Amino acid sequence: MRQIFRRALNQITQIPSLAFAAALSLWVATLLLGAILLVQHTVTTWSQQLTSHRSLMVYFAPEVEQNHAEKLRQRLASLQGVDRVLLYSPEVLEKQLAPLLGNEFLPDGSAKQLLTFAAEVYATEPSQLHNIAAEITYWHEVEEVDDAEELFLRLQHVEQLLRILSIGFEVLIAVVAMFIISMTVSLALYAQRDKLAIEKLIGASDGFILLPLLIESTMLAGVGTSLALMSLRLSWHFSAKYFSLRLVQTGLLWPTFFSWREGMMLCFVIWLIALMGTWIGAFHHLRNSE
Amino acid sequence: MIQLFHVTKCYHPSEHKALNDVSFCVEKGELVFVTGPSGAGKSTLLQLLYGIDLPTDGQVQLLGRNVAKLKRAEKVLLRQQVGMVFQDYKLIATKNIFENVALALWVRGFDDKKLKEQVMQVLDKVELAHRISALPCELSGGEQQRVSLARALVAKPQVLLCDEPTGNLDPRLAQKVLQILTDAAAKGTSVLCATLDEALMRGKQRVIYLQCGRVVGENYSAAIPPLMKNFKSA
Repeated sequence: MRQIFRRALNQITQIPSLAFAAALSLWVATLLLGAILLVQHTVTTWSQQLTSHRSLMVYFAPEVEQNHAEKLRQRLASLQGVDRVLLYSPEVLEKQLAPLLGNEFLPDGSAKQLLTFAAEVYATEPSQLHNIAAEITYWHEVEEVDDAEELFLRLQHVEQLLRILSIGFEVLIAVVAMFIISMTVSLALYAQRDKLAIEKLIGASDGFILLPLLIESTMLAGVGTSLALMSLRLSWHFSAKYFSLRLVQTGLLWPTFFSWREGMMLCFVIWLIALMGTWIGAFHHLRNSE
Repeated sequence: MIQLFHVTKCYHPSEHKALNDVSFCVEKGELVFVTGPSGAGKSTLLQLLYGIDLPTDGQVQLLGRNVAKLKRAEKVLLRQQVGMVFQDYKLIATKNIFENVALALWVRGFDDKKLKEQVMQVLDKVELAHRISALPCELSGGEQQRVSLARALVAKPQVLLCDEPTGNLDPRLAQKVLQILTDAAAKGTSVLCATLDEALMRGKQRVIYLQCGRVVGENYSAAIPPLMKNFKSA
């Protein structure tokens, strides 16, 4: 085993430029795959945060007064699946909407008349909101029910599209990285073709030639992924510092970095890419050198 | 151990046959010399035996296996039981003498502890134990040849094939090599040695004479058959 490791190290030191190219391609592959996964992770987290905070806005009819509105709030709270109900007076609504819509909101103050009492309904399960909305739409005191269904459907579509694109990019990156690794291995074997021909002549099996290469690619994958994960961690740390404060207004939270397990999974995938690339490059050479 | 049945080798249909209907066998522990002028087919014969090339016709059997029918993995296993001294030595330029010889054991899966003693023993036998850290380019032709012989012998093969093992050696070392080959045969290794060195064949070994790819004679003495004599005088 020590001999195999020594031979693997020899491979690296004999043609350092090729070893560097392989490690660099694995570093870039990890960086890109990691970045894609982080984007996907961020979108999923935000989508989950939005979904978990999803609520139903119920706008009451203009004739509904304070006392009536309070009764309606209690009625809403008693419905099955409702977690809590917040009641907003027209004044509170105005305060909340004005900063979002700017000075153009209610320029002459006439629109103030249009604002009514409203209730925000949270369900124990966000999926139940649709049923609750369907039930209260027909109350004569209710003028409008907004469950933001379209918005969430659009969000889901965006998430799905992003997932498909991510998978596409991930496969592309994996294939390109594998191709580069196989080419570097092929070049390394070509550079050592005389030595390998002699080894084969004196009885070296394919495994004898392949094993140090696989160990070499494992070492390079280890170096490449470690550096890439460190780079990603650092950039994530600084991004979090920069964006966290800006996200406060939106109510979203900056997602956490990969878990230890996810990081290990990424390393494993890169390692597989390195092994597959090595095997493809070596296989091609070993078959054609006989 | 070594059997050839009507073996013919033709590199190109329009050219003459490098080997033409060659048949003989070498028993276990036998030392056999193959001789003949340059181009007689000695190296071709060894290459066919070692599975480097395939015969055009006939059958080459080594250790009971038809060499031409072997799969890649089987060929590797067979080569691990055979030692070969190449005419051009085939030493790895970037490895020192010790590593070049040890390589024959590494490919057979020997561990480092057992290997060192065995390598030193065989290098001592070929009088190169003092040059273990030299690179092949730092050695003379004769020394490289002895390294090649050491590498072929180190794994104690069942069959030893030698292609001109004394081509670059002085008479003393040539006799030393002959002694090593004789010792190997005495220990049960079948040795087939292609050579032009008449001094090597002065003993009572079996000698097969090749000319233009054909076996033209075979005997157990140093006497050169008439056909060969004609060739030599020409």
